[in-house]
Parts: sequence; C-alpha cells; structure tokens
Amino acid sequence: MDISVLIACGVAIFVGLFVGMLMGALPGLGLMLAISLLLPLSYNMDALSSILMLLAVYQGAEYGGSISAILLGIPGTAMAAATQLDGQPYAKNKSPGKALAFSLTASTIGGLFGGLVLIFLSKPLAAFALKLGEPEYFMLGVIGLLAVAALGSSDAMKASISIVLGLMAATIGIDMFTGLPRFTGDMLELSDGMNIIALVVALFAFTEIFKMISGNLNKKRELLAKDLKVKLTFKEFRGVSKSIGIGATIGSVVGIIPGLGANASSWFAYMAAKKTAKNPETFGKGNPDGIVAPEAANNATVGGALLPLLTLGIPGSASIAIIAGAFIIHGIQPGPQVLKNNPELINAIFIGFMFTTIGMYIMGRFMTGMFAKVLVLRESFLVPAILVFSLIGVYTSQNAHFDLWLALGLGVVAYILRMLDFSVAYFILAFVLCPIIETSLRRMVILSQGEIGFYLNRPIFMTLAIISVLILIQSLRNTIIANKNKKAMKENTAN
Amino acid sequence: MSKKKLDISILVVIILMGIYYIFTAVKANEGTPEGELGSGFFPIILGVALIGFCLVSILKWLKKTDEIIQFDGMKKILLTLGIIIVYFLAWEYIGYFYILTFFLLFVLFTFYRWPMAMKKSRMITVNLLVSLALMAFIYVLFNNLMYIDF
Repeated sequence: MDISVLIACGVAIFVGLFVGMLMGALPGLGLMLAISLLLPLSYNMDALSSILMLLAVYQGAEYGGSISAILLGIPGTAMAAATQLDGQPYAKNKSPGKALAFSLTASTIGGLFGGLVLIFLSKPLAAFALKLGEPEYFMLGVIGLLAVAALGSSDAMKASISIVLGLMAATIGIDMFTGLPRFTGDMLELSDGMNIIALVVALFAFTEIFKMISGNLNKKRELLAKDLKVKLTFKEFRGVSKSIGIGATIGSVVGIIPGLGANASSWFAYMAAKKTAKNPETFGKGNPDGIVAPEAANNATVGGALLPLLTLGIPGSASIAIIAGAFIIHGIQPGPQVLKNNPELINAIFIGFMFTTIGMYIMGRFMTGMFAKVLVLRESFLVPAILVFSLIGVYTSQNAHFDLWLALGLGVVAYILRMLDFSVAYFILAFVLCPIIETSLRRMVILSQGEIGFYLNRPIFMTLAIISVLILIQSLRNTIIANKNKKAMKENTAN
Repeated sequence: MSKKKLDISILVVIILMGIYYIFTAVKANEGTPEGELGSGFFPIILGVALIGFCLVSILKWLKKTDEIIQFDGMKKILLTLGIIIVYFLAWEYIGYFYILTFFLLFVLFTFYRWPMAMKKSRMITVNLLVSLALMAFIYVLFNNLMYIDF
C-alpha cells in the first residue's frame, strides 16, 4: 500500500476518533451527530479513508459516552446509560481515573473482539449471500426494516410511518429501471435524489441543535476532575476479564441482529454480568464488572453491526446506514459483490478497523483528561459552532445552496415529528435500504410472472418469509402486552 | 398544546401528502407498456401503506387519553431560524462567506449567552474572540487544507 494512503488513513482515523470521543463525551450530542458532521468530508476523501474515519467516530463515541457517564453522571450517549450505574459510584468512592480505565480497556477489547468476529464471519456469510437471488434480497431488506420497527420502537405505527416516509424519500429522483424522473417537481437539483448529507444533517444535527436550543444553554456542569490517570494494573484487569468476555460476546451477537444495536447490547451485557457475578448486590454501587460489561458490549457491537452491511448490504441501524452512505457516495454498493470484486478495500477496512480500536486505546489513555475538561463547556458555545460546521458540511457536499434550504426545511419538519415520537433513525435506515428493496421487488415480480410456484420453490425465501411473519407476530404480541401493562398501571393509579 | 390535536393534524397532512404521492405515481405509470412495471409501481404500494398506517394511528387516538406536549424555548428556536434564513439569503445573493459566518457565530453566541449573569462588555469581547478563533480555524481547514471554495 502506498505511504500516502497510509498517512491519509491514519489522519482519518485520528480525526474520526477525536470527533467521536469529543461528541460522545458531550451529553446530548452523541454518535449520530458526530457521524452526521463528518459524513460530508467523505466527498473530499477516498473511499477507504472516509469509511475508516466514520468507523473511528463510531468506536470513539462508544467510549466517549462513558467519560461523561462516569465523570458527570450524565451518559454522553444512550449506550453509556448502563455504564453510569456503576461508573459514577466507582468514580466518586474510589477513583475516576480507574473507572475510566476499566471503561477504556473493556471498550478496546470489545472493539477488537467485534473486529475479529467481523473478519472471520464475513467470508462465509458473503459466500452464502452470493447464492441469494432477488426475492431473498427483497425479504432481507424487509426483515431489516421489520426487525427495527418491531424490536426497537415503543410505537410500532409511528415507526412504520417513519419507515414508509424514508422509503418514499428515497424514490425521489431518476428511476433506475425506466430512466424517468420521479417526484422531482421538475427541480434539477432533485434528479439525483435527495442529497443524503443534507438529509442526515437535517435529521440528526438540526433536530439535536433545536432540542438543545429549547433547553437551558448556559447550564453549568459539575465534574469529578481529580485523579484522571487512565491506567489499570494486571490484577485489576484479571478481576474483570470474565465480564469483559461476556460483554464482548453479547455485543458481537447483538450487533449482527438488525434493530437491537449498542444500547440493547449494553443492557443485556450488564444484566448478564450481574447474573454471573459472585456478589450481584454490589452492582449499582460501583462494581467494576458493571462498568466493563456494557462498555465491552457496545464497542463489540460495532464490528457485529458491520457484518450484515458488508456481507448482505443490509445496515442494521441508523449509524451503520449513514456509514453505508459513505460507500454509496463513492459509488460502492455494500454487499457480497464488494467482498468478491473489491477484496483489497474490504481487507483494508478490516485492518483499519483493528487499528481504529488500538488508536482509541492510545487516544483514550492520553487524551481523556482533555475531553473531560471540554465537558464543562456550555452549550451556548457548542450550538453555534456545531450549526456552522453542519451548514458547511451540507454546502460542501455538492456546492449547492439548494441543499442548505432542503436541510433547514427537513430539519424543522423532523424536529416536530421527533417531538411526536416519529423516528428519524428508522427514516434514514429505510432511505438507505430502499434501492435494494425496490430493485429486488420489481425484478422479483417480473421474474415470477405471477406464478406462486416461483416463490414456493425457494427454500431460503420461504424461511425468510416465515421469519418476517414471526417478527410481525412478536411485534403484535409486544404491543398487546404493553397496552395491557399501561391499562393495569392506569387502574392501579386510579385505585 | 394538545398532543392529540397536533398529532392528528400532522397525520392528516401526511395522508394528504400520501394521496398526492399516489396521484403522481399513477401519472408516472402512464404510458408503461402492458406486462411491464412502471416507475410508479413501488411508490403506489408505499403510498397506500402510508395512508393505512396513518389511519390506524388516528384510530389509536380514539382509545387514548390526550396528553400535553411542551414546546419549550420556541421563541429561541424561531429567532435562530430567522437568523439562519437571513444568513442563507445573504450568502446566496451577496457572498462573502467567511465574513458572514463570522457575524453568524458572533450573533448566535451573544444571543444565547445574553441571559448569563456577567458583565456585558466582557461577554461581547469573549464572543468576538471565540468567533474570530473559530473562523480562523474554519478558514485554515477548508480554504488552506481542503481547498474548498465558498
């Protein structure tokens, strides 16, 4: 590999980790905003560097979230909520530096474990994916969306509307089959479809900015700033190694399943570590096992979550969907064909992914103190800076003022919809999955010529169809149980 | 504000949007040779599904009790939007991106930090310095390192 490529990748990983940790650490900002801010830079970078930069953001934000969870008692990201339960008491009663060291070590091992899972499972899964035809791809896309709506949402109807709106937004532009423009309103700017960067910034950056503006922008935060030396002894590491293993395993597996993601994996790992602990009563009071299990899990999720994207072309979460956007920007459709036709790129991503995790450890060891100091920065300084960087990002993606207006308009609409429990995450996931779903569906209908036997003779298609029906049944069951619980709670309060 | 009223209003708007979307999709299908799938095939399915989900969501409200939805800080949001719109118009029709962005940062810093209990002259000086520093960073990053022309 050319030395200039190595330098570009190194710089991209550094920038990604820095922004990821910083945004992850700052409460209210988090992973999605970090990815949204850096995605526009993809246009001016090569495919490998831009993908590694976004993966570094993902890894960095997972660890960064624990910095504020431990030092402020406010999780920087939703994924770090489980870490806070034991992280903050440990920091208060013993040492903030040690609590952060537990988190960093677990995040690193979790990240490496997830990376190994990705490397070893990608080839067999891609070989399997190559055997799939259009009907199976259609079903995989549908399962990806159904799983997200069924497993990850409290209001299945609002989730479904968000998904359909995302699919509809993706149909804007030239139709790939007929070459005719659809839903463009005769606007030339829309003929290539909606600019994904304008969309991502509108849905994640602008809505977050409006949310911050609606609150107190000058709130002062109290920080546990003493003893920030992020270092563990071997004995301390050995004491938590079992929980790290549990977290890493759970995180990798959960990451592969669409719709669950790092948030769920952190809680699953926390509960599993508590169940298998010798002294579960100390959980919630500063047990280091309660710090390492969720942290190992949320970083292991990153590698696991990349697996369905790289092998099947199906992103399982909104953050992975945005990373898929970086592939698409460079004209690469993620999926088994990339593994087959472009193995150099995929191998470089795998190696870069491992370096990203190691880089996170090094940066975490030496720069956590600096990130901790940034935590006291007031939002009144952060909001204008984030806003300007978001606007620049949107503009530079296509040098078009139209995209700025589009992003602003969509941002306002998305903010109102978010207030009413619609999901911007499902919207973007559907937006990215739409080309796969639409293309496969249309080809499937043409190939089958209305013959039902065409589908019945495809065992994988039938299995996937059964899985999607089971997901629907499970979703229905969850809704009924949730409604019953709500009713019972209301009756109890009335009594 | 009543969440029920707002939610139902938004759902009705989405339904109307869905109807227009289906209408456009049907028009896009016109002229498609028989036995082939037109570009409106998939959008029609989506439009119908959207309307269906919205109707179920509206029906769900009939069983639920209303909630109050708080739109805190609307004044601040609307003023910020106004400032952004002026900035967009000025950038598009006048140019001078770096100078305009410096002003945008300074105005927003001052607007958001004004309620803070501190000497206003000191606050303005700090805001000016931070805006300048940020602009210098943006200039070096985008103009000198990434060669992006605004």
